[in-house]
Amino acid sequence: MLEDNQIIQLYKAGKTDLLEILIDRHKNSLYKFCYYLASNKHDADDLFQDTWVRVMQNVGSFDEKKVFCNWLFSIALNSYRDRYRKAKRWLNKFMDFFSNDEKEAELSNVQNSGLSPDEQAVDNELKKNLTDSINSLEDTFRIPIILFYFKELRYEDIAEILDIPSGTVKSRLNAGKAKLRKLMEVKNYE
Amino acid sequence: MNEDKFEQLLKEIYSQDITPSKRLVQKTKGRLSENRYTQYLIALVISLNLAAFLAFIGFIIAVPYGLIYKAMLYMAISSAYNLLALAAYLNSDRIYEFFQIKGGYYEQK
Repeated sequence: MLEDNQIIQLYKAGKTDLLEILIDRHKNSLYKFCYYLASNKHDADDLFQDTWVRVMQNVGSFDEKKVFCNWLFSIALNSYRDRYRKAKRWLNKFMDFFSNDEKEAELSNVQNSGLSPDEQAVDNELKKNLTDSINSLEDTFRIPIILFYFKELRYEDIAEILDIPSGTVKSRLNAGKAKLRKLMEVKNYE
Repeated sequence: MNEDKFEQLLKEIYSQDITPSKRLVQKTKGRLSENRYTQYLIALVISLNLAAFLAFIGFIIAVPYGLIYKAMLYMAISSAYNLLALAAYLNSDRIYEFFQIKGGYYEQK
């Protein structure tokens, strides 16, 4: 099986159809990242498509010594910053307000093995509040938390994606989690 | 809430089974192939435009008229050229439809 970077080399050499292999290989992790970044399905779909178009347009500048997956996530992040950070974030707050049922349904799909229905309801409520708290954090703290937990990336990989030193990643993660705990305490989850 | 419980909750929140729909993946692949063809078309149009402009300058230099007539000829041909560009701009939707790649992923709705 061809490695990601070998596919990129072949793509640069003119085998343009090979990009589809990369899409199939990384579609789930990229979409999941887009979904957590955008916080709703509609924007995640747009972000997913924009990311692949940008990959195609900027593939010439990809350094083949680096990890393709990290580069892919950094492209997604830049697309998100360009398109969604300002206008859509505000709009999302409205959409979140109207789509609580959808969110609750998604949260209830999360595995809760071994819990009674009452415990499950409490657990889902807790997760919903924690998700809302994460979404209310500034991107500086929210994005390292997403990257750290959704794919359990190493500090070095997160640092490469965010283009910051790994020490800064650690401090942002700790500060983000401290802020989250405070927000949860305000909501009486001590 | 203790530290372990907090960590556990964060892990659970980010371990949801979220996958893109097949339609989205198909649509993305279609958009990429369309984008690729658009890039080829843009390159072709730029090359043709450059070749036409060079031919136009060459023709003006070659015609056996005086400088004033050559300047007038340049004005006339460049006006016609710009009018053609304006017409293409105003009818860009029709041109796009004419060149749209049929049978692509966008057709498979």
